[in-house]
Amino acid sequence: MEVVYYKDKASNCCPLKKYLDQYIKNDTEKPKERNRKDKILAEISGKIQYVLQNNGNPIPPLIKKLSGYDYFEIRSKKNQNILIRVFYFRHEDKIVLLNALEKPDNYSGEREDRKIEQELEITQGYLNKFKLNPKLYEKYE
Amino acid sequence: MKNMNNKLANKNRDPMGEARKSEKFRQYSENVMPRIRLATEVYNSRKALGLSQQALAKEMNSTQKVVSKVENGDMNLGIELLNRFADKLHFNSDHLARVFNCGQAYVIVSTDAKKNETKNELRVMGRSENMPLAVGTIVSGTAVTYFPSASRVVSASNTIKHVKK
Repeated sequence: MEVVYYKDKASNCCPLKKYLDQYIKNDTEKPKERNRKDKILAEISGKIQYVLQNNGNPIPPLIKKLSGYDYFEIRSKKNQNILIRVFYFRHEDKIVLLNALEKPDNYSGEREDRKIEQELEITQGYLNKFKLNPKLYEKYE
Repeated sequence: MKNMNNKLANKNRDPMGEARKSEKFRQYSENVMPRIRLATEVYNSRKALGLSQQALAKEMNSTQKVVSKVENGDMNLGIELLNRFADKLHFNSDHLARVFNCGQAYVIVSTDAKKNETKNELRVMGRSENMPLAVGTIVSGTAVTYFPSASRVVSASNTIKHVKK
């Protein structure tokens, strides 16, 4: 199996790659900040590796199927209070990384719920588009 | 302006590919996998015992939050806590070998060996070349002998039919 990023034609970018861009280090940052970024990416990368080892199957407890949607989620901690949810699905011999969002631990209120729901709907849209055109992807290194 | 240049430079780069160049990233990555494997083992064993996270936490004299963190692969365990998990979830060497990705060797000794071949010296090797995990005699007919943590098995005899790692 191969892991790829979904590439959205309308925005001409990979939504997950765009999310992960914030963790690209730059030379002006302090070592502590650079290490923090490496750590977050290593966590996500390790979990993607685990998904690959299991042929994209949603093996609990780390990978979950989202009810009402056709994709799975990988959960990874950003820090004590924020969870990163990475969404993917399987298509033929590919594990397609669709999108990611951050979920604060202690959020309340309909506004946040709605925002998350919107993002999940957008992600479902990406999945549908990919199914129609399976060439919409970029290599995951 | 500098930020804009950085953004433009980042546009076509794979953040993961970039991170993989870093030594720190590699170090962190090595720590992630055992945590993920432990999470799976804890979750599967807990489910097999029909325990909730809360019930397991109570038995371990810990909290549900700790169990949840371990099952999400978000916690680095100390040896004491790992021991409590292993005890309450009845972990055996198979579980631990899977968590720490140690080799496992199954040695199947031929049952139709001739009489003078029934005793053979066997060296079960671990990661270090100089320190065999076991040196001993295998009696033909033992059928299957299990060595956790073995990386390979060396024997001068042809009575070993199959070594599965």
